[in-house]
Amino acid sequence: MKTDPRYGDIEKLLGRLMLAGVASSAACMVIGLVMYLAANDVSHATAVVTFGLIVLMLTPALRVAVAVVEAVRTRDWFFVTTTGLVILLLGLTLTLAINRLR
Amino acid sequence: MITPADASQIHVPGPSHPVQLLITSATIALVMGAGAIAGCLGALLGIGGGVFLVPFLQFVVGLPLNVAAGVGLMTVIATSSVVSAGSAGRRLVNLKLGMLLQVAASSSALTAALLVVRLPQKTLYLMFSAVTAIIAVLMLTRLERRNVILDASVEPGMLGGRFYEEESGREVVYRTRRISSALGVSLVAGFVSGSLGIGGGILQVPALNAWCGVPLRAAAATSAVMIGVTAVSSAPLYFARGDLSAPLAAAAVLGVLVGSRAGFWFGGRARAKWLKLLMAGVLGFVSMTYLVKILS
Repeated sequence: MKTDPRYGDIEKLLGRLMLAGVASSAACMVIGLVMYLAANDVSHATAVVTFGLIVLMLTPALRVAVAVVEAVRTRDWFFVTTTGLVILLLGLTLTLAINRLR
Repeated sequence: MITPADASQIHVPGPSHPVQLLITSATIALVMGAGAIAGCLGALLGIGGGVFLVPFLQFVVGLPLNVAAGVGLMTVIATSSVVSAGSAGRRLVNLKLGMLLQVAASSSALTAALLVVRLPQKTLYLMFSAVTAIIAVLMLTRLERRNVILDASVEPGMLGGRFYEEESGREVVYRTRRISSALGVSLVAGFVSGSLGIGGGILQVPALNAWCGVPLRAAAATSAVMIGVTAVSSAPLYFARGDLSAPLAAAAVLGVLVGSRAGFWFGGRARAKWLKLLMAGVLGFVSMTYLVKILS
């Protein structure tokens, strides 16, 4: 494993970003569930909750995106290949899901 | 007490299987509580919260498997993000190994999400029950093994790693062996995650530990990152199909977030032997649960 000190900084920033993502997603879910239980505005409540779920799904994707950047920066082509493939697979899932929603 | 006024019906959107669920405030509270317990155990073991939650949602709440799996996937993502945010900056996560295995796990999770509506459920349960039983036995036979090289000058190789272990208070170095086995297990784990929504870590952690020589803590931290990415490789398809109940998923996720904090706190303090024993018990329980479900 690399012992580049900058890597540690990026990792710490990433950790904070991921926590911020989870926290904002949780906030949306709390607000949405309260709206849902008040039960007079189910469609808006579902929209708020769904937004929270989408933010939640973005946090692991962010982890992979940072890994791609890190792989390119350190010119580790094996790591570039694996992280690139993972990003491609995530993109494929998203494309298939969007096509199904249409 | 639930009155009809408390109950509100939602129509989960989606053209292929319109599912109509009756969700009351009691259901939401129940799912949230279950999420808290599942999250605590999941974070403690590095296996994601879904492993208890999905059977619970099937048996107790009475959700169809695909809806329970959709909720499970969201809790797996939440657990993964919280645990891996906590471990970021420490060198416990072996991201190079993780991303290699992730290619296999994501491919099969995506395939599973596409195939799951066509697969016989009993086949999936049987496969799952067998795999968890085998790994439980494997864990029990390896309680005293430590897959670490205590000499910090040893070269860990391309896919190995080194980290500071709190228990022994020194730097630990390990090499990763049998990459092809790890890739095979990741394929299976991804498929299980994408079809049952329980998070593939339940298979990856013991396999990485027992077969590939990755210390349990590093295996759990690496797996914690992987299960989230694996879940995201199939969750959008559940969402698009209308198999994701937003209020129940939110309730479970909020429960898991609270529970996983407790689990993560315990995780740094529990000894590896107890973690292994506990994990073997968990695997045995899950195996029995699915076996009972096949027979009934």
